[in-house]
Amino acid sequence: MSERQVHVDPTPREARPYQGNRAGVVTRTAAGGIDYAIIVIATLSSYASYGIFAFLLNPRGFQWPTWPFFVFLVIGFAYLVIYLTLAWATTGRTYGARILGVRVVNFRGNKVSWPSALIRAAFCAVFPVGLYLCIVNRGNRSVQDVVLRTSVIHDWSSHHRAPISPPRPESRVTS
Amino acid sequence: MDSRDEEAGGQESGDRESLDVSSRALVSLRIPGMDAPERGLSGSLVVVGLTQAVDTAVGAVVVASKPVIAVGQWLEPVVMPLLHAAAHPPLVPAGLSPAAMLARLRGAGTAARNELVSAVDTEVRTRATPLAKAVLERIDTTAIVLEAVDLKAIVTAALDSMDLTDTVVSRVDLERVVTAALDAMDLTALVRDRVDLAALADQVIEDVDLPEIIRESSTGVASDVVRGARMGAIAGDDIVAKWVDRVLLRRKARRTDVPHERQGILADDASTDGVAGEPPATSQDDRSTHE
Repeated sequence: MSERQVHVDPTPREARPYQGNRAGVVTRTAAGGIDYAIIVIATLSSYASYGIFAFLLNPRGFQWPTWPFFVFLVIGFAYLVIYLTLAWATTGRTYGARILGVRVVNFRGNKVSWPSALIRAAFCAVFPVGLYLCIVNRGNRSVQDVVLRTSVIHDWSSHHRAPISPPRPESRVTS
Repeated sequence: MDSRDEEAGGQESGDRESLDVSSRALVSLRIPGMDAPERGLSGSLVVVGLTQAVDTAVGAVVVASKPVIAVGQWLEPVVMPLLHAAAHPPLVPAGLSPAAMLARLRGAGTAARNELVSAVDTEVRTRATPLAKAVLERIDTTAIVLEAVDLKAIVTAALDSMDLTDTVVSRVDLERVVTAALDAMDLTALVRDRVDLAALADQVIEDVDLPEIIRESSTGVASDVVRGARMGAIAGDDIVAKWVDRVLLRRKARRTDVPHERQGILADDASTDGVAGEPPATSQDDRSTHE
C-alpha cells in the first residue's frame, strides 16, 4: 500500500522538539568556549613547536622565544578565522558545535558559502561579544547572524543537512 | 313481563344487526378463484342464504324442543322407573335382557366407530401430505408470509429469547471456520494491501523507542556525557530566555524556528541529494509539553 521508507530518527526523544530551532546563549557559549580552547591550544602548540624547532637548530644557545602577546593574538586570530571558515563551509559546524549538537546555516537553511563562512569567521574573531545579542534577541540571533542572515540551529543528526523546523504559531505567552 | 319482552326484543334486534353485519362482511368477501366481481357477489349471496336457512332451522328446532323437554322433565319420575324395568325385566336372564342387548350393541358401535376413526386417520395421514403439497404448489407461500407476518418482530423475539453467541460457540466449529477462512485468503497480500506498514513500523519504532535501545546498546559513557551536556545547555538556554523575556516584559514567545521558505528548499535538496526525509521537528508549543 505504501512505498514510503521507514525512517528511524536517531535523535533522543526529549531532544527532537528542539531540532532545527535556533540555539540559545548557553549552548553557543559552550560551543564557542570549546572552539576557543582549541585555538588557544593550537596557538600554544605553535609556540611550542617553534621553540622545539629553534632548539633543534641551535641546541646550545637555545632559549624559549619571547613572543609579544600581540603575536599570540595575531596567530590565534588567523587560526580562528581559518578554523571557523573551514568548519562552517564544509560541515557547518566546528568541533565545539559538534559536541553541543548545533550547526551554522544560511537564511535558506543550507550550508553557508565559502565567502560567507570567511566573512562570518572574521566577524566572530573581531567581535566575539556579538554572540550575546542572542540573549535579548527574539530569534536567538547574534550580531553576526543578523548581519549575515545566518542561524545557529540545534542539529543532533550526523549527516550534513540541516533539519527542518516546522512553522510555529505567531505568538505564545511566556510563562 | 314487560322487561322480558323488551329484553327479548332487544336480543332479536341485536341478532338481526349481527346477522346484517355478518351478511355485509360476507358480501364484501371475495371468494378465491372468482375473478369476476359479479361471480363473487352471487357466490356471497348463496352463502348468506344458506347461513340464514341454517339459522332458521336451528331456531325452529330449539322452539319445538322446548315443550318436549318440559314434558320430558315432567314425566321423568314416572318414565325412568318404567324404562329401567323394561331394560331389566323380571324372570329374564341377565344376558338376554334388553339392557345387555343394548350394551352389546353399544360395544359393537364403539368398535365400529374406532375402526372408522382409525381408517379415517390412516386415510388423512396418507393423503394429507400430497394434498398439502398440491395446495402449496398453487399458492405463493413466501409472498403470503411476507405480507401477513411481521417477520422483524418474530426474528427480534427469537433473538431476544436466545443467546446467539453462546449458540454459535457451542454449535459452530470455530477453529474449522477460521482455518477455512485463513486458507481461502492470502493474508500477507491482504495486509500489504490494506495496512500502511510504513506508518505501523514508524509507530512501533516510536513506541518502543528503537533509537534509544540502539544508543543504549552501542554507545558508551562519552556519548552519555555529550548527551547530558547538550540537554543541559538546552535547559540553560530556556532558563536564560525565560528570565530575559520576563525582565523585558515580553508577552510573546521567541521565534527560534528558521524561516518557512527553508522547508521547500530543503525538500528540493533532499530530492536531489538522495538523503532520506528528515523527520519534522515539533513546534515550540509541542516542545513545551516536553519541558
